[in-house]
Amino acid sequence: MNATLPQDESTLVNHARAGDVDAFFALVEPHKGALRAMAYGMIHDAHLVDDVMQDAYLKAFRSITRFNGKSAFRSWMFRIVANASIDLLRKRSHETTSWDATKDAPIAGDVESDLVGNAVLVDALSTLTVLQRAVVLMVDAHGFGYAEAGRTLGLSVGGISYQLMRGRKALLEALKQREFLEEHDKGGSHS
Amino acid sequence: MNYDDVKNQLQGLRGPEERPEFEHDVRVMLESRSQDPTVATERVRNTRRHLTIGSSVVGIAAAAVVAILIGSSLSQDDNKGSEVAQQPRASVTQPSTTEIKPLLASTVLAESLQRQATIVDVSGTLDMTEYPSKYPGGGDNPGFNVKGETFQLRARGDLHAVTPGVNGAPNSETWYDAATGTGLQCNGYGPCIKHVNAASTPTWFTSFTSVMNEQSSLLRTLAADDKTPVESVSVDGRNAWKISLTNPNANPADGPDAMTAVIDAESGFAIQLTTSNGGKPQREYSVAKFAVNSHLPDATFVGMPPQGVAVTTADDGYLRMTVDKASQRAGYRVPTPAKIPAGFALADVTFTSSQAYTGWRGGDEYNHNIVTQTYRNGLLSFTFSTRDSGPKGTLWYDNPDGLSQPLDTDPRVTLTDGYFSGVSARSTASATGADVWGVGSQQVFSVVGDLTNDEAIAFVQSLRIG
Repeated sequence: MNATLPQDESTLVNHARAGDVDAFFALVEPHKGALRAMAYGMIHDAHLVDDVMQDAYLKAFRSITRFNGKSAFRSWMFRIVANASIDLLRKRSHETTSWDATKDAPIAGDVESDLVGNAVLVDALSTLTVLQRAVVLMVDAHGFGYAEAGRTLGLSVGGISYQLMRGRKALLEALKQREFLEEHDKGGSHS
Repeated sequence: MNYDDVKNQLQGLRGPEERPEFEHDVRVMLESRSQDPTVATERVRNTRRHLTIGSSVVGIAAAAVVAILIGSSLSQDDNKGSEVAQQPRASVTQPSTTEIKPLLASTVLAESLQRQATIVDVSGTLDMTEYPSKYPGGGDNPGFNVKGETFQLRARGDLHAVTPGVNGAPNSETWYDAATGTGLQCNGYGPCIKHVNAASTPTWFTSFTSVMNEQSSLLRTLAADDKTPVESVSVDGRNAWKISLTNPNANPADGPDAMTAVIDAESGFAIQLTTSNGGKPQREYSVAKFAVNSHLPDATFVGMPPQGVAVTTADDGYLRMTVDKASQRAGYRVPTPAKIPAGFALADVTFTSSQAYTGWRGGDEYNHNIVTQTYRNGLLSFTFSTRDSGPKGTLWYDNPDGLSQPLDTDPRVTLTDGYFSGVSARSTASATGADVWGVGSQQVFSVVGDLTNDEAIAFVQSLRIG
């Protein structure tokens, strides 16, 4: 048994490695909300969070035989979600034209109603670089330590610190700018 | 506002709720993978997206996958590589239940039509109903109540498909021809977009996406029934196969527990598909008229936008060219392999100056010159992409997917540094096979696709990098 993993988590990992889907979902369940929030913050498009999560689940299940337990399962899943998000963003960067052309196409379900009133925050997050976004979300939203975030994202502690500093500054500025614009709009509407 | 306020907001950030059936669908996909690893890769690829598109499109797309998969099985059986893939399939041996089940599974899970196929033209009239139907007039389901819709589907290279008159979008038409790299997108709600330099299998083509919520239940139905024989039938004078499947252990709450499919014996096109739940019919799909043509002239694949619809030309950012030309554009010598897996040949070279994501290792990844070489062997393909590494490294190399193993742990690799994620055997027409990411003296590269581990490593070892 791996010394790093809690006993029950280690057992579930072993079962998941053997193809036990229930065990895999039991592993994911405690982190599901945080992982979805991470994906949403990364890609800032509520419509595509399910796509990212599905991709992440499939990659994780496919690769869990290679999960060595040296990091926490949570960290491992965050890394996969971050990478799945980056993959999607990278794909989108190559299909700007068609994306623009199809963004008004009907999407299943009333997704907007599922949002949690964080549209401004998520919009502001989108002004950060992808890496800054990942670092800010992991450290400030989900409580990762610098070392754990560094291991998860493949950065040194110094790298995490640098990206966090830049990301925080950019996020604060973006939110202030949006706050200013909102107040300006309100003022304009009264005149 | 200070950052503590922001942090509080961040900690309260939640993602949107899962769509209904999300976990159920993923669970079934994972279960199918764990039960049948030989087809799992394909199932995974075919179920990545869940957009809501008219089911007649789904039916067409799904059926085309069947057609193409059957083409795949033929070329595999004949073992003649890419030449076989270009031959007409004049006759097809009736498949066994075991053989047809993966085809049907892929049918109901069809996401896109990113495959090579023989030149084939299928046209006809669709009738499709759903019980209960909430369309037309809005409601939860935007499609499925189709009667008398005409359609055409053509395939050459990866795919060419035309779907006029579907579900309230009379001008919808999307096609892509891999042979010429041209395509047209018309979604019925705005101007059409013409693509003249699209790379192989452009991402926009995957808009033919399945949204059959019952697909997972159908899969389970398939999995639960392995004894039902395939029956030879005649439909409108055409030879066809019919298979009826039931899952006695299915939970009616999960969706259909039985299905009957009729597949045209010549083309592999699904011409009837009926599902039921607890004995009640749930969905009927049928092709009222049906015709198949092979060996079509090139002129067949010149798509025409719907009448009266404006057309704009897309800037795909891709150029198809020779390796030498790509080297000139890229500003570095694009490496070529000395050893290519048996049966494969260079099929396409594209260049793009990528405006990718930013911010890896404190730097921006703007405007890298990426050259992608696509190698094909019939239905199999893999890509070899290169770019200059730059002084700060790149996510391409440093963290390709967070899952790979360092190349230097593989004793077969001495030339490069990088990562390797392998599979035990060559996968079929999948982009999730062997996967190598590496770096030479000045270049970062990736090799991804339908290679075995040994083929991928040998390919990498034979590269002349930098």
